[in-house]
Amino acid sequence: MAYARLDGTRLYYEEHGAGRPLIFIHGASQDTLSWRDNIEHYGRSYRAFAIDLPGHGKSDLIGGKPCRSTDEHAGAVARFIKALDLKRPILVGHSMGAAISITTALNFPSEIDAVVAVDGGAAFLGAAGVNYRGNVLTDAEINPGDWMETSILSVLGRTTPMARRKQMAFDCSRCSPYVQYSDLITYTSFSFASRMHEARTPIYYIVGEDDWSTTPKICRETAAKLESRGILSGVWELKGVGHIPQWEQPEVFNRTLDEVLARFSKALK
Amino acid sequence: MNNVSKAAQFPDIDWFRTYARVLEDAEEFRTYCRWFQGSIAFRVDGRAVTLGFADGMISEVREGMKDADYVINGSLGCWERLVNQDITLLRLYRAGEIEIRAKNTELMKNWKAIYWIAEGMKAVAGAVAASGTGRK
Repeated sequence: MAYARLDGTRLYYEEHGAGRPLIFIHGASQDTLSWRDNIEHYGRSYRAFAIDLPGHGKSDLIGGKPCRSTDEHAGAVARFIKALDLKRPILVGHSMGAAISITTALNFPSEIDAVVAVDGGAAFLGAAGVNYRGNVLTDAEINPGDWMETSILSVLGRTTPMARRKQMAFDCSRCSPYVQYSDLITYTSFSFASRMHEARTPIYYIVGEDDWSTTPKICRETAAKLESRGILSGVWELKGVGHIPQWEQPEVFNRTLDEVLARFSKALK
Repeated sequence: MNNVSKAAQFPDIDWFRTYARVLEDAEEFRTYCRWFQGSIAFRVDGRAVTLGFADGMISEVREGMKDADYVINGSLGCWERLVNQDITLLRLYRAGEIEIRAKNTELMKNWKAIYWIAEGMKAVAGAVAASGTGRK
């Protein structure tokens, strides 16, 4: 696997297959491991990449500090696309990664072909699907590691066994607490509602039925608003699945993403 | 309904005594809470029971919330969602449905232990059913 050089920093990525570029972007406190059950599947028909966002996994910090906004992360994604000379990739982003993918499409519309937002990137007002009560977000800075670990345990669907939940929570605990807290700031400060009028890129949503942090309802409302503005969109809801479908039910997720990508290809014809 | 089954109803103090026994046997409690020191009051519709914790053991179960280090406060309906459903303390606290009164630094430093102590409440229903003392 390899590193892309972005203005003096290194961004780690994994690459499988050949063809149209597809970039998987992980969520808060996660890294390329987030897509371990998915990327090889997509390497059969795409040039599939998974990246470690700045400060996550094996990627460097930018300027010695964790990113604290989707704009900063989107800049890194755009530089990654340029560094590898990729032509209009499709971005598949999970949770915070969905918000980053949408921000990349908003900030660099000519560079992105479509976005698939997985349990994130919906347009709601407030900090998240279920709002953070005022002091909770600031208090989380005291112990972001345990807060994120128990957050992961709290957002999974009812069909996810405890052993699998603990594995996911452990994977998230690999992330530096400084980066974890910065991720909290990043995803709670994203506001698609205030920038939806700028959207030009197709945005499709995959969401778990049991996801209470980005709910199917808010995704449907967002997709309807996009479609009313003439933007290609749609929602695929996964039964019994929570906030991290690509981990919770990888086969179901892969089948669903196949459908989404097929829908997009058909729409282009 | 006999005295035993009546006693096992949440949030009666005998339910909390059962909870204390179940919790001490729980793998997660032994793993994540073994160094936790403090007292937590579980306040349900204005009525509280306090449990004392010391190094992986539950040192007391008493009525009231006097001198409790942490007070977790919610309505019966809210608590029943935590006890009987796949809904965690984090979710209820983050959304402001349940209130926790404590020094915020202590609460966050001990967050993981308190989370697993609350998750242990879900095991009581199974333990009560197994002993035949559940709600009829």
